[in-house]
Amino acid sequence: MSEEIQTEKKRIKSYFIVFGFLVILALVNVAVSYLHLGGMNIAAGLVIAGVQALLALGILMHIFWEKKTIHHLIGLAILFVLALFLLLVASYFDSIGK
Amino acid sequence: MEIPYTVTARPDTGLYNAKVGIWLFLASEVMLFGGLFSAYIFLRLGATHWPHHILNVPMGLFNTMVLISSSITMVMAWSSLKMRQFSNYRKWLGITLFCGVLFLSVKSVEYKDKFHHYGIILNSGQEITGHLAMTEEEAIHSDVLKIKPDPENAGDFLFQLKSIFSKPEGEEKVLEIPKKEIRWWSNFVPKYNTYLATYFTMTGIHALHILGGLLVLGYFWGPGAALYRTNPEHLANRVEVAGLFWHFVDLVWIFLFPTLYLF
Repeated sequence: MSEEIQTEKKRIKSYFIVFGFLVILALVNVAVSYLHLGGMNIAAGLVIAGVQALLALGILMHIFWEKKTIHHLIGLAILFVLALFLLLVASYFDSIGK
Repeated sequence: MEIPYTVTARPDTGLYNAKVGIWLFLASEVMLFGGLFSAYIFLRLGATHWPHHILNVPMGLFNTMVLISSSITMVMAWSSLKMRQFSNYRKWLGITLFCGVLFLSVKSVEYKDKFHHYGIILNSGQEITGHLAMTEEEAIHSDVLKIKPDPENAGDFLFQLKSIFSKPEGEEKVLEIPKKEIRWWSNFVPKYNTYLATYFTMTGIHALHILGGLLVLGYFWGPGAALYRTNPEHLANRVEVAGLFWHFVDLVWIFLFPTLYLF
């Protein structure tokens, strides 16, 4: 237990570093939305949001230190969402009947 | 009968049961919001016109900061419990609850603002947006609609920021449009266009998640905290599970903010 407490004490600093990054990235995302980059605007916005999500998942939700069972569960969820998006893209570009 | 593995880890998974349970639940939530986001992409790809910066970006940014802060205070509440600092736990969780209530309050102000914002589609197809210069009751019964149109720079960050604290400038001119020249008019509610329907659906479901999270966290701040006296590690595990849900709700907002407010 005391080892667990020591580990937690060390992690507190990383929580606040992540907080700083999340705030900065949110501001960057807003700034990017006012630039005229054409179709790249939304791509840049989603990449920035993706980095924010990774930081929140990895550090705040402890994914980087979690057991394999959790990694497998998350992997499965991401796989299903990707399959959902793939179906969407496939249906959008489907030319049958056009 | 005592429920097993609420504090200690199961030998096969290496985790206590509630943690596996919450991650299974979050996996199903990923599919729920994944479905909503795929609907958003589909509708956006098929739309001839998609509004840009019509929502108040400074307000959305403020709410983003509030949720990010609440995620940090949430993890600090759990961390305090792990270190057996009960008063700190109550303090951090209290701030988390405050942030959640603040988020919902700002959201309700945003919704109210949209309900008082109007759009008019003329017979020519031209769209005029702005605020009514008459009551809604008068607008329904009158043959003429009086509207203060939005200025050209209504999407600018500074203009939107000023409009939060004072009456927007440039809204003094009043247009009087005979109803025979109007094809359709409405306030900014889901029926107005696909964008607003998507906005209200996604942010509404997200707000319901915030509300659910607040109820659970409120319980752990109040009556549920009594468990600390008998089994602090069990309480720490319960708070960790509730915290994982809270972080997930924050994570969803991280994607909602750019897709609906910014791009």
